[in-house]
Amino acid sequence: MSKSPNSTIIIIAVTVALFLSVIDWMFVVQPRLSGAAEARAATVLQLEANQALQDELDQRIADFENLPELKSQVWAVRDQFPTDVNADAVREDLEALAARHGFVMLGDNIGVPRQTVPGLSLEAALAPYGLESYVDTLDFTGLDAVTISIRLQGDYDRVMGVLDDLQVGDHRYFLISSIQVSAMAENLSANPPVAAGSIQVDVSGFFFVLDHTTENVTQRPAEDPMPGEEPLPSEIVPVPDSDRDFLLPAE
Amino acid sequence: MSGLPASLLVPNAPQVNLIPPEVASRKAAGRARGLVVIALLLFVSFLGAVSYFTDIQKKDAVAEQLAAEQIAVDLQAEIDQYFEVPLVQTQLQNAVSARLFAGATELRWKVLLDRIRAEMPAGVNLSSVSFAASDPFGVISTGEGPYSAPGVGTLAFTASSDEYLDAAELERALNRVVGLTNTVIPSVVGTVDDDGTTFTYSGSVTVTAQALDLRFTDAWFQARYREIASDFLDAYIAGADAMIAAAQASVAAGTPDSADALELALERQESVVGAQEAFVALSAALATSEANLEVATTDQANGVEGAEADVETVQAAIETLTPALDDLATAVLALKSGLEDIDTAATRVAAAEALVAAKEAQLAAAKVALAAATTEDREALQADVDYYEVLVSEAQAVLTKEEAAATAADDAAATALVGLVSATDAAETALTTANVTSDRQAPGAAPAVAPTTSPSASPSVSPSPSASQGGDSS
Repeated sequence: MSKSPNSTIIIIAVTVALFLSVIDWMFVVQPRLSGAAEARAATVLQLEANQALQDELDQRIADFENLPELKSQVWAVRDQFPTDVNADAVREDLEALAARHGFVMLGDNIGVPRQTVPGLSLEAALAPYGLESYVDTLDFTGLDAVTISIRLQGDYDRVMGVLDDLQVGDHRYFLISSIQVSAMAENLSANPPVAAGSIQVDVSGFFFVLDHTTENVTQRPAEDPMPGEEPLPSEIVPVPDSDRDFLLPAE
Repeated sequence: MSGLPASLLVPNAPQVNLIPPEVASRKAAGRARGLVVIALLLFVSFLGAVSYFTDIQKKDAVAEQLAAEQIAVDLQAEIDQYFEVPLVQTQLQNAVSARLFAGATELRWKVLLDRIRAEMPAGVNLSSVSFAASDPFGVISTGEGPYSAPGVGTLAFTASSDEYLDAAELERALNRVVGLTNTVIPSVVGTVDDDGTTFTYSGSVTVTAQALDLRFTDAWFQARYREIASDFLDAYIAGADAMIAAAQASVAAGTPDSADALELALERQESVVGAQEAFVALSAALATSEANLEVATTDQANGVEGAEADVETVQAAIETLTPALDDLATAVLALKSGLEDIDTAATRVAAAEALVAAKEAQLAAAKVALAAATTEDREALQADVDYYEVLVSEAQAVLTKEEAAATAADDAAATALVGLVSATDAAETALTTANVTSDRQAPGAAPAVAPTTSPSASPSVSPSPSASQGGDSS
């Protein structure tokens, strides 16, 4: 039996069609569909990422409006934890504090900064009282501690006044880590005289330096100058003569 | 026309096909080839259409992807404009964490030593007390020995007395101090002299985490705010009489606006006195409730009947009292801040007035110079006068601005005063609602009112229906 010519043509045609279909599918349609699917999948992921970015942007905008408040909080911490040792400022604080309570500073002992690293655990100490430790998971950098020791003598109430002011006063933060309180025998001939009931308190502790790594970002918000402290807009500010010797005090 | 009926379907003309079958076959094959070619072309066109369609699809998808990516770039660029925000947040987070760490082992010595002094038995002289944290930034000691309690350090002391048993009394007294436990006095040494026998002893006591100040935590700040608010109320009331006397003197002297000042001073005094009374009452009620909670919690741990309900009742009272006290403290601090702002504004107004006076003096001097000037100098001196007139007007603008700021500060303080009155009312309502009646009895002690096992008598802090009504109505 021989095939009819039509059958042959149809078979060839179908074969060609199939061949073309396969070629088209393999090299044109499928790659494009696959590419489109990949692009759509990537778009979906990108849109999700965009939503996250949009949320982040919204949050940033909201936080930006709150930025002055955040900066003032940073500066509130920095007043207690400055970026330098500044032993001179520490002594000024101590002198002011002592003067406020009628004491005279007779001496101090300030050490060198030592780096502190997270690692303190209060869990065992707080657990018996149903309290959770808040320090075990703290993470920070740049905190250095400087040792300081001072001695106070006087009646109990005044010495405790100084001590309490030292601990909670509105100045640089001092941590008292050790204390020795001793009753003093009356000795009116001593210099300074020791009244009955006086105590001597030796305090050792630390003050801190916090290295703010992004310090330049957070400038302290400027305060309005007092009227008269700054010249008025039309006022001509005198400039010094060019031949003036700047090493000499201004006349 | 044939005469045959149409129903036979016989054609009219003779039907004879003379074309040879081969020709017909060739024609049929040709038609078939044509149809196949057309079909093939149509199929290729279809494939082309499919390809085109998929191409469009891919291009659209890629375009959408690129658009989404561009949006991401734009969003990122916009986010980058706010680069300062995360830097400041990181800085703040680091600073706050470091501050919490630095203050974690802080003990407030005045508070602890005052507590010790309050518990000291009569006749015992404490001659020295010392405490040294081995390492405030290291691991806290968990104590040594089978009976030791976890602590944050050890307080060593030496004491003396005339009675042998005072050492035992001191031991019990120190153990009663909140934040101290496990007092140990290893030896008592008696010395006999002409005046009698003096017993000296030294010992140690464990300082527990209860003594920690928890510096810089939210709870510490809240307690600190309460402390500052309390101090402010005391200081304000102490100075209020002098303020009112001064205002009354001004009224008597007929000073303008002094009557308003007196009215304001009296109003403030009344509000602040009311706030102080509420503050003291709330603080006392909260302290009582917290002590009651401790007792009730111990009862609950010991399986005392009804203790669980007591705990819930006392906790409810604490939850009512605490926010009221915090709100009152916040209102007091707002008034304190408002009064400080008034002082600052007054200083600034005074400085602005001095500035105006100085510029007016310069203007007056320039006018005098102009009046006395010769004709050729007049032009330059007139320029000076014009210049100082500008300065005077600018100084007056500064004064106007400062006066407006002072008025705003006055208004803010008045608003703070209204807030204080509302917070005082809310505090009184909370006090009535919580209805703290008395201290609970400590376990083991003789019952003061009724045994804690009695469900009806055990809750010493309970909301009363009548009090609740009073609270609602106010």
